[in-house]
Amino acid sequence: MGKSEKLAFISVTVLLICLLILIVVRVITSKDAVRVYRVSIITDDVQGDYSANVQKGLDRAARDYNIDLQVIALHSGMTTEQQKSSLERELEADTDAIIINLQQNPSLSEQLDLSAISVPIVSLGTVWDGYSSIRSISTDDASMGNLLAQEMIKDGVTVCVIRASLDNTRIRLREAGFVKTMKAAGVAYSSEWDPDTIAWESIPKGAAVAALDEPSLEKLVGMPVAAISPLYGIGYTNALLSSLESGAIRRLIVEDDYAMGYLALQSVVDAIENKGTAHEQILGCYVADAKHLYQEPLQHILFPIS
Amino acid sequence: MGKSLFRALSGKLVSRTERSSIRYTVFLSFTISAIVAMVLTGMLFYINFSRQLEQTIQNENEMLVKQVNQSVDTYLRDMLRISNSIYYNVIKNVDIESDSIQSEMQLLYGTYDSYIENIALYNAEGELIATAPPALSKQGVDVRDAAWFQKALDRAENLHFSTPAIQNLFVNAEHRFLRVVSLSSAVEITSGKNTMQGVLLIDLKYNSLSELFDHMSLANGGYLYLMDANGELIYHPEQQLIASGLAKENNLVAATYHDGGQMETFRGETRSVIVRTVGYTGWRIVGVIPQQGLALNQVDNLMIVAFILLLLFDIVILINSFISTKLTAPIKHLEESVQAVEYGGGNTDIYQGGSYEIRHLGASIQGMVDQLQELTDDIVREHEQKQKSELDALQSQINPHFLYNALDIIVWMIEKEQPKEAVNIVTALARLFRISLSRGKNIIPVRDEIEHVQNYLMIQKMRYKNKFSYEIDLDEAVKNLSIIKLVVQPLVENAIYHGMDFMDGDGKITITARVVGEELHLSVADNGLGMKPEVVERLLVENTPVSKGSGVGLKNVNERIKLYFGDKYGVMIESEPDAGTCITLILPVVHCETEEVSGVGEK
Repeated sequence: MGKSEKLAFISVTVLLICLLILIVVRVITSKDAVRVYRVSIITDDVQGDYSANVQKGLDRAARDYNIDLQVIALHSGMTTEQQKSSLERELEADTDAIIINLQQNPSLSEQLDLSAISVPIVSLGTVWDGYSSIRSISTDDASMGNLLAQEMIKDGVTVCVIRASLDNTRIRLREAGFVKTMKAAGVAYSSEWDPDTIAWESIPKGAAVAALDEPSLEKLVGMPVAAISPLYGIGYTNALLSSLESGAIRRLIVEDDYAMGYLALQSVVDAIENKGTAHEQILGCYVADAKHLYQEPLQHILFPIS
Repeated sequence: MGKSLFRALSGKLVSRTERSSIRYTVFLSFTISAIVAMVLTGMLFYINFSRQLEQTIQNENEMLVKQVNQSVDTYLRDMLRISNSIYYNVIKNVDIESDSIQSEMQLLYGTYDSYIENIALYNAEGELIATAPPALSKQGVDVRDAAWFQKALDRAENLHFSTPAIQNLFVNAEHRFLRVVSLSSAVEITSGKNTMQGVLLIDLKYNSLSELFDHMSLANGGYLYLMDANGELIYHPEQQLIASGLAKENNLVAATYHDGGQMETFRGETRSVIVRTVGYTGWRIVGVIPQQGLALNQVDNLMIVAFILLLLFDIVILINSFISTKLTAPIKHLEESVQAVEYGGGNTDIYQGGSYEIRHLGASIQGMVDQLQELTDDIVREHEQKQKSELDALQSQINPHFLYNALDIIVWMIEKEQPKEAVNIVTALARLFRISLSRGKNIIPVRDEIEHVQNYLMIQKMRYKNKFSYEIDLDEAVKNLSIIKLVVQPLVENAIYHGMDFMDGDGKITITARVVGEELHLSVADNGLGMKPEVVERLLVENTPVSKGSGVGLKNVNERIKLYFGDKYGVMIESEPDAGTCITLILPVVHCETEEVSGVGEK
């Protein structure tokens, strides 16, 4: 074999080896591309319609992104301490990422020490102050409160009572947004936190009542006050939507739970794959009334196709 | 530009191959041809295979779309049949004034409840006449505002399918909101003796429709969706994401496509789209296949093709190297053998192996070489013969001239009645000729050559009447050394003719012979007129005209010595005007063990 032939043979062989290495690398990396991520979602709201629609979004995203999703439920019967230790146990478990969806007791998150957690954490519904590394998918609660107030003002409400059965960060934010708008409009209001103990007699007849969470609104719908006072609220369940349709509730401020669930897992994947997407995603909120209940976009927001 | 580049490249290649070995040229030609053939074949194969694959995938996808179309068509026709069945078997046969149709409707509902959510019959005023399963109408809901109701009455001859929507007709105690597709048609209701128009509504479960698509997927990430004639989505695998703004679909544009396959670019992605219209409803099934999934032009496939090609290149290089070596080895051997002949060394064998052509060529060259050798031998032989003839001629030139003079002296002596001197002369002459002959030998001992010269000198001394004297001084050691015959006599002759001719009795010739190192130096010196340096320089130069022909003998002697012993040896002339000349023969020391020094003179 001559010098040129040797050179040609060696060059082609080197190319061949490089190509082989490239193919092997691609095969290996493509295997990684279809890797299944294990994600745990910790939630304290497993029975509500909110969770059902969020779950639909999560399920869809889990299918799209090859995610093995495990739901860890913090039951309402558990004490805060028990919930906290349960949550901490899960944080130490072997998962690729964690989604925290604390609707009933979002303040629980404030008690956790997350500094030692190495896996990505995505918060659903709430923004965790002080943890810039934690991604969040939420609706601006203050905006929801503000929108609710605007709708009530639009309806000519002059006196209103704010109702909430839960006392947590989200509700406080909603209240702040609501009160700010009401104050600006000069509408008289009073804040109440326990529907059972409220002195309804002291409230002017026909005064509108705004509920800042679903449980208090559901309670209100079943109370005599609903017959004399127009009800408004934030959040929705199928029962509340039936009440809205029947006229028992005048307006609801709702959020896109399906999108929130879907985006939460999308954000998880982005975090695992170190994609530079936004850490904090805030979704819009919508006004639902009986007239537009079956129209788009409300129809798909409230009754998502699973 | 392209042509000139091609011309330049091909010119360069041709020029390079012309300078290269035949083996390299064969290898290069074979390799380039093989690679070009492989690449072309590979490309053709690749393109053909890609097309076939694309066509196969396209056909499979079209087949799948067609199947789903048939499934949807069958489903819709089933629903139409149910609707017709309710109408013709139940509603047409009943007088609602006196009979209830509730039980018959319930019966049919029970049969098809996996597809149907509700069956309801309304009169033209929108009042509910019957429903299955039994349900209460929602307060405040006026079906006359609903599109399905209006369409049914507006086009009474048709049955109408709506797009999916949340049912908003009946009270649901469990607060369930049902997604349905409404099938509505105008019906005639008998009430007593009158007939009136009404609307039959069958709310189809959306899931029963979506299930037809749920497990259908096209090749390589392709999917199917269903839309109405206006492009409004009825089913889409990402319908909820599209509604939430998290995904997009090109449905409004696809609504304008004709049935069949076509390409579209949507959000930077090229896709193959197959559209098929569902009978009766005008709904359209759209199959979307990303182009990346259709073609073989993916990076992985290209890399594998490149890998195979490179592997083949490597194999081709090895095979071509082997073949070119095998093919050109006989030529190489032939060339080497010709080169060996060219450079000499005695070997004249030409390689005659390999293929027929090479063997034939080798045999031809061998013939030529043999002929050449013979010709060369002939030329050498002729040359030698010629030289010998010339020498013989030279020798024969000496003898007649000298013989004439010698005989003249003898005659003269006989006339002068000097018989004793005449006898001496005759004796010397006889001895001189005896040595001249030397039985044909060319190499004789120095003593014989000196004796020959002595005889010659004696005769010449007689002739010149003692105008000169001579002296011979020989070492005993040189007497038995070899010398070429008759090389001293011409020198002596020159010394007599050109040195002594003008002397007046005091000329002297001295002959000495010594061994100097490895050489025999034999000098003939005279005290004659001598020569100028320029004359001396010209004496031994070939073709130089010498006055009076005096240099011929000297040149011959010089040439003979060189011919016999080589260029190293020859004649050395030392001369000085009016002082004399000394000519020295430089010869190798060769002992005269045998009578003839064989081989030495055969150069």
